[in-house]
Amino acid sequence: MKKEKIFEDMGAAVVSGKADRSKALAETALKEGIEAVEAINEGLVKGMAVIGDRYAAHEVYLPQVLMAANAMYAGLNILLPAIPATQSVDRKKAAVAVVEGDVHDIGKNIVKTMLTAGGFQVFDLGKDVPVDTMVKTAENEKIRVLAMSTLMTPTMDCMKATIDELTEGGYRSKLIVTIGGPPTSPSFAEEIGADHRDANAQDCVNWLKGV
Amino acid sequence: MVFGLGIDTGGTYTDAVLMDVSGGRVVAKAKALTTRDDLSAGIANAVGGMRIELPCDIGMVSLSSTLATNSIVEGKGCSVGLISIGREFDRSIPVDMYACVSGGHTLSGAEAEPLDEQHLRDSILSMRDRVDGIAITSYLSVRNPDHENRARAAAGKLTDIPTVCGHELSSSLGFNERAVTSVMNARLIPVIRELMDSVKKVMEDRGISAPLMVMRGDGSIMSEEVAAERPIETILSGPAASLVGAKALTGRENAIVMDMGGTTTDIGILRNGRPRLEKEGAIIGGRRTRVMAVEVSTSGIGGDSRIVVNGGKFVLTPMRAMPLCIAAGRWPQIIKRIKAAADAPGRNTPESLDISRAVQDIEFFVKIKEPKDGSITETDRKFLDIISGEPFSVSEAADILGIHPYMINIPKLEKQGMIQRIGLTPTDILHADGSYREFNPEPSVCGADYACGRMEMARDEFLTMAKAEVVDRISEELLKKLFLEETGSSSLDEVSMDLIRKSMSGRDGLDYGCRITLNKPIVGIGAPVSAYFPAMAKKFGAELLLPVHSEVGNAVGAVTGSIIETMEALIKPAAGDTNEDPKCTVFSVLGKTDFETLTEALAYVKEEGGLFVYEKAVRAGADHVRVSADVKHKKYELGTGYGAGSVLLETNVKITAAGKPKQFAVAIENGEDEYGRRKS
Repeated sequence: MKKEKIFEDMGAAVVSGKADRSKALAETALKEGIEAVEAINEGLVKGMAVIGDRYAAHEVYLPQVLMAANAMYAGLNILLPAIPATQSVDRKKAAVAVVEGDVHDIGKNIVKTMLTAGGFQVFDLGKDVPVDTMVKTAENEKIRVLAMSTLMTPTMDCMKATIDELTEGGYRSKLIVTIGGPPTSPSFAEEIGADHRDANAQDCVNWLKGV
Repeated sequence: MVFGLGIDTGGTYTDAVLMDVSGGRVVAKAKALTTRDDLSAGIANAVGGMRIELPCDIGMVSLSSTLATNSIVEGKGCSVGLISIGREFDRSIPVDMYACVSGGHTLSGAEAEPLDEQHLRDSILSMRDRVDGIAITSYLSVRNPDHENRARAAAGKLTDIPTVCGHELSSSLGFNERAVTSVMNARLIPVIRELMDSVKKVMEDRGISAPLMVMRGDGSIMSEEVAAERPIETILSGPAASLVGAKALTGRENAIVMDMGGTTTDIGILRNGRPRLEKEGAIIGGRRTRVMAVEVSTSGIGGDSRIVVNGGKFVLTPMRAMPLCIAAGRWPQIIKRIKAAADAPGRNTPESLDISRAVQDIEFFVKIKEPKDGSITETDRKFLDIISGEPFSVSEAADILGIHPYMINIPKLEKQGMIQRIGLTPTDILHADGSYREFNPEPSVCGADYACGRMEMARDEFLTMAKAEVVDRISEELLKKLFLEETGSSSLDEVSMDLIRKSMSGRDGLDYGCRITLNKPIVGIGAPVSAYFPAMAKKFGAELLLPVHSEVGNAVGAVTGSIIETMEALIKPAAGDTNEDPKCTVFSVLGKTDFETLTEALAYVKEEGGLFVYEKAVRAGADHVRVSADVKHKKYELGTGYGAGSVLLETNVKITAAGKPKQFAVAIENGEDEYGRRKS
């Protein structure tokens, strides 16, 4: 099968949320001797970008995004281990987390997907994550991007606390902090000393790629 | 009439100025060379040089000095032990002894871990006879200083070594930065003591019994007693004094102050009478501290920037060279040789793509430092031998050695500080065209002749062009500073460079032109400013002020500064309390306290904080102290769908106590406002 055809089909599999098809195509790609990184970028990521754009434009619903993400991970599970170690070293490390006190993690999961699709090595710290865990992970793993999310107002303060701890510990200047979640706003991001706030995952990852 | 005596001990010169403070008038001034081995000699010379009857009615002596900054950069100072509590110090600066004991607090000011008192005592005892100062810094001490205070109390019981706590020097987050600040502060204690003793010796000899004040890096002044405890705050007080001095000499509250010295041009901005402070804390010797100091940008264009003519092109480099006119005062024999070179400008001297290697027959080198063994080549060593007594040019030395000039590795020797370069500089240009006369202009004229010969220009034409080049470069540096202030970025792309060039040349491009105007006057300080700044101000349509006594501007700044003490407090609403007047916790140098409402918390901060800074200001020597509070509520809008209105994140309060030195208070009442301006 031709390389371009495989990539096109992989993208289509992600867009239509077909995990089995995505996995099979990933295996075919490796069998054909295609480089894993190329297959990720030209196939899976492009498909995910299409869905991301459509979601941002309100053309598809959240379940479709989640299905697409599922299909992308099915392909990634095959392709990521096939990337030679030398190529994965220079991938930027990002950590994603829903802050302590909150368990609403759909948005965080989309950001995680988009970051993975964007070439980041993602540390998913999960939901209800204490300040200390985020700070320790950032320092120990030399994280370059920290993305925090919350859906509720009382838990917003944890974002500020995380940034304050990073500042006190001296790691703040070494990473980019971006936040998200419906109650947050650009003015909130500015007040707490975060670098960025975005309303959707696609735009956030595009912004991160630019800095 | 009350007089103030201002003294500025710089790296090269010590300035003294006697001011009639009530009238804002300079009565007498003098300059003398700084005597590094015994500062009091230079200070005495400067004070003596004023030729006035002392003691007259001197109400205050005020000192500004770059000594602290220099000491840190040069790694001088006493030995310091650091005790960090609750976190390891990142060792970004060396310390003589170090111990890390458990303890520290959390963001909410709760104890993260109990203080390990036994380990703390052992650490203090182990440092007792081996260091001259102890710095203590605890994790999140800005939210609760308890562990630092307890550690200091323990140190006080066990030793009599001076002890410094991080939370007293800064209330900003940043454990390592506070540690660096405390260590540097501890190191400087004997340095500042020695400096103040030098001044007091001179005062004693002259029968002056007025209080001694010291300039701070933020443009205010403090008493001798406070300076002895917090010498780190004198860091960068040179540029601060220059800004405050410019304000006093011109009476302008808003101005761009450009101080053109030998090595650099410093650009600072006064807005509403205050210099802007470095928000994150000053960087000293490459390390970020938490010291509040004026934000001044420094460019490498000054009176002794090296001028090169290479490949028929004129280049003004940020490299340093000793001006020909100054060098000829010390080694008169080079005049003849410069003249000879000027008479034969076409001589075959190699040119180079690399400006630092370009050979000029009017450039001479003299050895200033011995090389370390084995660090240089045989040829370079022979070259150093030749230039150990008197200066030679590379071509001359190469002729003696019988080698090609490029065999000598000038850039390396220069970088390692073994040789001093002597050459054509902007100072020579001014001597050559007669606009500035401090030294013998003959070598400068010959140097210019050599350069213009190589450019096939007439001397006058060359000198005009050279001055225009200097003006363009400092204008460009000024614009860069203004852009940085406005946008926070200093990267200039092709388009912005084009706009800069259009605005500086005043010439249009194909379809458009560009003019940049300044909304503030430029205040020029330094000897060569009258030669360059009028042309620069004209480019920007700006008013130019060249104060008469600008050469002693720093000393004037020292005398006219106010005493300002500040305290910052953080008021944090309890988590989840979104009431109009929520429960709050106050964090400050006074400790951590809880309140039922924000109103009560604010009242407490203003009352207790006000008293705290008031007492500090009085201790710093102030009278007629005025206390003001700057309250900033950090609020934010919620995202759409979460209701209108804004939510309080936290409240920052800055309490400021400002006053004039005690002896001067009367003068203020009579004729000046709180910032030392004359009332119109």
